[in-house]
Amino acid sequence: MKKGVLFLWILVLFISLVNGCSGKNPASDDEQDFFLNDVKMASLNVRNIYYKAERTISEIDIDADGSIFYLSIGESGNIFGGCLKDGEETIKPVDQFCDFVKYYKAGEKLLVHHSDTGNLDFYDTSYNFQKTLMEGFKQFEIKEVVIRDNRAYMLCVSDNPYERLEDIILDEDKGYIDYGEKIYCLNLDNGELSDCEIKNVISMCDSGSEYLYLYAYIDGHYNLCVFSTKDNKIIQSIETDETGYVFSFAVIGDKMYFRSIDTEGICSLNLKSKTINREVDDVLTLKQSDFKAIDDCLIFVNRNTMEICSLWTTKGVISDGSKTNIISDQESDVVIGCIDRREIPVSISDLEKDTDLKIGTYSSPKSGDASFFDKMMVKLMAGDPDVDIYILYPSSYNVIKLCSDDVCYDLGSSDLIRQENSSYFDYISDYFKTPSGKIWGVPLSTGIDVLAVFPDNLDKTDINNIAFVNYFEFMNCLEKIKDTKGIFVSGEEYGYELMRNYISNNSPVDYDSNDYRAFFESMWSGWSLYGNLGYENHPLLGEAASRITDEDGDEHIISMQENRLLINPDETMFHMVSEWDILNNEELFKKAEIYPIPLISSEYSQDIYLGRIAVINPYGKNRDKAVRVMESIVKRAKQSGINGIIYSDINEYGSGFNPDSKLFKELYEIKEKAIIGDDSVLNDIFLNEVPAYQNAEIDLDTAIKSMQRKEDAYRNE
Amino acid sequence: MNKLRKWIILAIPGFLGFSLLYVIPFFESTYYSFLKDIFSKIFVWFENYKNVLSNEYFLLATRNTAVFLVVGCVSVIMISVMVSYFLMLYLKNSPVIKAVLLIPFLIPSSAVMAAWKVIFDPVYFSYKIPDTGMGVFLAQLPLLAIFVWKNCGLMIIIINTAMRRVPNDVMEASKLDGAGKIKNLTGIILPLIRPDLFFALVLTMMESLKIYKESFLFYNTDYPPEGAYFLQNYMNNHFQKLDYELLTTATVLFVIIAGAVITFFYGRERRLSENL
Repeated sequence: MKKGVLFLWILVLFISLVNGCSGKNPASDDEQDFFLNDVKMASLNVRNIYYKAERTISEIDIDADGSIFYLSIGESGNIFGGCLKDGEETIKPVDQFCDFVKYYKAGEKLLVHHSDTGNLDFYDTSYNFQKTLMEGFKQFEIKEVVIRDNRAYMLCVSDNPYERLEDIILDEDKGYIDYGEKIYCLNLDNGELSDCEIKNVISMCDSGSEYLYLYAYIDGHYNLCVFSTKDNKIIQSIETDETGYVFSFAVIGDKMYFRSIDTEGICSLNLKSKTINREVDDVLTLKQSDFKAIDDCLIFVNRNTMEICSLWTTKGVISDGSKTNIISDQESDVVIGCIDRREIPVSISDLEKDTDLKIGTYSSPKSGDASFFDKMMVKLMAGDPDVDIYILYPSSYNVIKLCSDDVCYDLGSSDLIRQENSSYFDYISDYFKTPSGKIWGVPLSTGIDVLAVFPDNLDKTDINNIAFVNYFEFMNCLEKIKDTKGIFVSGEEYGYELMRNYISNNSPVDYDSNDYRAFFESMWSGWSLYGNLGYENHPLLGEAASRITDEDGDEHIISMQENRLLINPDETMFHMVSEWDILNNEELFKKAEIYPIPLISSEYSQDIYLGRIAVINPYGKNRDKAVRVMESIVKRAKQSGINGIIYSDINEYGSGFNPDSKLFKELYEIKEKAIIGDDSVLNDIFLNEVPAYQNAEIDLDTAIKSMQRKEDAYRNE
Repeated sequence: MNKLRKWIILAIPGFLGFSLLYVIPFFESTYYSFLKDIFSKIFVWFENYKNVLSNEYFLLATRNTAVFLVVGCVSVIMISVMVSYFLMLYLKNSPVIKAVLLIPFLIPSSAVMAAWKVIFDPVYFSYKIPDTGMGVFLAQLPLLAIFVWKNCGLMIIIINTAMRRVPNDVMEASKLDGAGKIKNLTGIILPLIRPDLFFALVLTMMESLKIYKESFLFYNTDYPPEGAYFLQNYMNNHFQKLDYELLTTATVLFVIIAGAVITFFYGRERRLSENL
């Protein structure tokens, strides 16, 4: 009996431990009850709040009757105070430095902040000055104000955080930035101010009762907290790491609605199940004051369209007049599947306008959710009819299956897409055709890396011939001139690029060739001697790249992004850069000559990047409608030029390009001769063989043998 | 009759669940294995079977899986029997020991993989072992160690519980007849607990087929050394490549082989039990 009791105790202890390790907050059940039952939202008397602003709105507040109070910025930069009540709008110019407005129900007045003087004033609802409540409350930003009884709780950033960047604490893993937010409590009767002394609060929102919801970063985790205005302390919290850094949020029922740093839309986090759903797409909110929750309505400012909309959360109904798209497969004529909504290269509203169809999306609520790609592929290959168009990455080897005659939906049934396909460079046109000539997809974005050479600066060196035949010559040249002032090479992913090109040019791949062995040995050997410059490149490239940063007193290898800012044509000789970097910075590269990047062999063609492609689901319910949407995507992608240099006929290029420019012609020439290859096992090699060889854990023969084994298995299994 | 009806009613949910989750999907998979692909649905009879059975990587994977299954299962059962017998002889039936033994089975593999990577250097096992002969066994060695460590505890509990059910008077009688500890084990205990041993064996076999997860964590690739390339690698890679027809064909072949092995063992076990 005693043993049985002991065993039970151990079992209970073990289960508790397992539960504890699962990261679940032991108090979460209580908290969920609290969130569900205790908070009674203020009643909203109208269900449809919609306002399309003519000017940029800087601040809004809304009362329970649906009246909207706002500050807007005119074309000349003047500030206007607006009030929309019972369908009637009054607008009045206000002080240039008004930066925050809050409706104070008691007394029917507005609390307005002036950034220049720091004065907090009371105005009436027609923006007539009444009295100054407080002076000298200068804040860099007031994120949100919640008025409870006679107190205003203000979430403020007091100093300009960008002037004290070194003090900003950044958690790189979770993306947390501490801007030094503070919550102040202001007595609206006597102007008395006190600091609530709560740290690391990111956002704050009203609960409609004595409690405030705070979104805070506590002990390395994001938390949704309940702050009691009576006790002046946080009384409960739920860990919400799922959402990441949140700009603006509101809590309605058992859901937290938010716009995080990663999403362009409104998502909801179910506080019970911790699942995230995208509720409204295509919405940009920038700050906490863009979100209000009253009753079961979420009211938000969509800064993409300058609309104030309400979302009736219990019914999923969005206010009339909105162009915002609710994601719902049932209501949509055509559904587009993609990892992230932003991967659709044209706006949904434009597509809807073109096709007169209602378009929905099937996408992950998390940004860059790579696992969602597999989910989409399974959905597609299982013959699921719900999604009509898929936006995919062709570099994943599973997309290759889509090229087969039996699997693809033939886009050649559309005259426009057939014509479009025939206008591509031959190798791109062929890539998107099945062996029997069906068109299985369309490219949405392409790119290529090139070498920009600044010949004016070559007199600093003894280089006479800059038309490098291959990688080896290029590296010899760098070795000779690495100490010459003014050399700058950015080769962030040169090694990866060369391996990719080798694979693309040699299918099936022979890793045991003399060329490849020499390249591998040259690129990856002796790495440990050169320090930590990243494993993507030969150290020499890092040395050359670091010269510029040395002069600035900074030792780190700079990124492509930084290159764009730092590139100086007076000092640069060689710059490895993408097609898009050149097209977007033509002024910087006007003195440059563009060459293909030196490859392992001069006989190889360069491989282009296929960023995204679009295909139609052969099992889709609305294939005919999907073709119309696809036509619109193709047309608009062509107009905006997002798919890059892909047309053989110069006249096909839209306003996004300047076909007469020298840079365009040089890029065109390189891209015309390029190829599209299959680099399926390259990532595997990069994660395993390359670091093992770099760290001298394996020799060249072993690395080559292992790579070849993987390649053979991939092709033959 | 009433009793029979009650049993039937009780069995219906289980039967429906089993059909819905296992039987129907399996038959659907079998159907796919006869198609060129699931889109065209062209019936190609045994073409996929021919392709799979002539594929060197399928054969390699089958051989490796069989080797792992035999070596892994035998190791686990032998170690479990020995430890169980030791526990039975020298230690009381303590729930604490049982709980401790169960822990490796419950801990997620990813949580202990770092420790295993310290014990077995992944670079050595990935690149420096020969492809043939002992190389096959060496590539599987880290996985075997993880497998044995993970599963022995559970099997010890099952076998130990079975051993403790052997009637004491039988053991006493054999002692009086002069049987030693080894003779007791081989001549009395093991024959008497054969059904439990068989259950433990089937459970171990099932667990051995889940070793893919540990393989991926240890070797960090879809293409581990040839000796550690299992049927699950083959199937998963075809799943990634969307070759569902080859995946389902391999699955059906695997089920046939596994079914034959288990049926054989069941038959043997039943015959031996009848003879006992």
